[in-house]
Amino acid sequence: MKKGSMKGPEWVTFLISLALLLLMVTYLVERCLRPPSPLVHVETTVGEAKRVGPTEAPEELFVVPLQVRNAGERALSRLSMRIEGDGVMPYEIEIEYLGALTSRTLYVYARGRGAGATIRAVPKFYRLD
Amino acid sequence: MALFGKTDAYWDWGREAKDFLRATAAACIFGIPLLYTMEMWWNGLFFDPARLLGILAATLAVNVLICLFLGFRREHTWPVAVTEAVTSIGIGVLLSSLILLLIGEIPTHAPLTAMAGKVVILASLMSLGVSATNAKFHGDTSREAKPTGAFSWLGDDRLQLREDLKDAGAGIPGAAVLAVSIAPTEEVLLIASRLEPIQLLLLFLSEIVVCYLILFASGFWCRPKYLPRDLFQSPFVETVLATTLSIIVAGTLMFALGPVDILHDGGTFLACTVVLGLPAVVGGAAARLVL
Repeated sequence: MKKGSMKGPEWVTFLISLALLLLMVTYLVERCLRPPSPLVHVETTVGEAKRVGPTEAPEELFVVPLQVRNAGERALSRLSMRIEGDGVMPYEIEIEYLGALTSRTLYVYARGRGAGATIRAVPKFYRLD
Repeated sequence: MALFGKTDAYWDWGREAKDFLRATAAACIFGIPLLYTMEMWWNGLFFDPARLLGILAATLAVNVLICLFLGFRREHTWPVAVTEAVTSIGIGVLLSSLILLLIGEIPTHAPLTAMAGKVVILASLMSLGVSATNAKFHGDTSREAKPTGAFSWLGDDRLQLREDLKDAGAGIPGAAVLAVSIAPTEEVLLIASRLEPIQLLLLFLSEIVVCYLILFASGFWCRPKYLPRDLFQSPFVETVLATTLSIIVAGTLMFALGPVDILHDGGTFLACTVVLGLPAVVGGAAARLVL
């Protein structure tokens, strides 16, 4: 290749790469300029309960999907939540990390028909890194 | 074809495709080990945008220096070095996004926020691989070693067998070296457990493609062929054999060093083996180039 002569395909590759790089930089600069807020909204949604084991069991056991969503624009770490509701022994769980605008599904065991309807997860503590 | 008044030589897409494949192979060799480090995923999520911008700027600077002093396109001027450094980062961004999608680290419905940090960190490392390797191998597309006269008394069959065994001898430790430090970690099980069967199949197929890219499409590998028309010397068969060997190494390492629980469940063991197969394949193929 002669000095200083980039060929057509090289220009195309370069321009696509430049567009990707500028997209990244623009996005990161925009995030830098956004005012930080310590308030992050954590949403929970209870899914449909599924029965576990035989139906003749005296106390039916259900698995209830519980979706936890970080509705904020910052990632959370060590998100501690209290799980409570009918048919569930109250307990606390910790989610190691939950990215911005992402969700994680937990599966909670509950005893008794219709137990899933009353289950809720209450955020107790989180850390912003 | 003449486009915009330029000749076919100006629009040489074949050469550019070759460069791109070479860059992909180099990026995989540099970037795959980092993929299996959970803390790097978390860093991508937690790093401040300013810090990520700093990483991007530092990566661009290092890439420019590599291209300037090693000559990505065999030219040593600042403007060319800058354009090549930008191209390296662009390729890094593209490939890291694809690979993170493949191992389920970026869910398809994930917002840009969740992707950006991980992509920036992984792309930085991959782009260094692109710059450094292209600096060494760019444009050198005819690296075919000629059979030598040494050991000619063995005959072509035996000489070829000797070469094949040498390749296997390089591939097995290469796969083991890269995969042995990953096999006992939690990341393998974590990735394996979240991938659907179709994703595992895609990952397995991509391992074959990566092996082919590193060994053949990139043009890095040169070795003597004593039986060039033999079926087992065709790139496709060699790629499948090399991949299989690396997957066997991955399975052996999972059996020996992986979590004990996975041995009780064949499906999980298989999934973990496919997941560990990616670094094993990259290690095995890279070792064949070096040794």
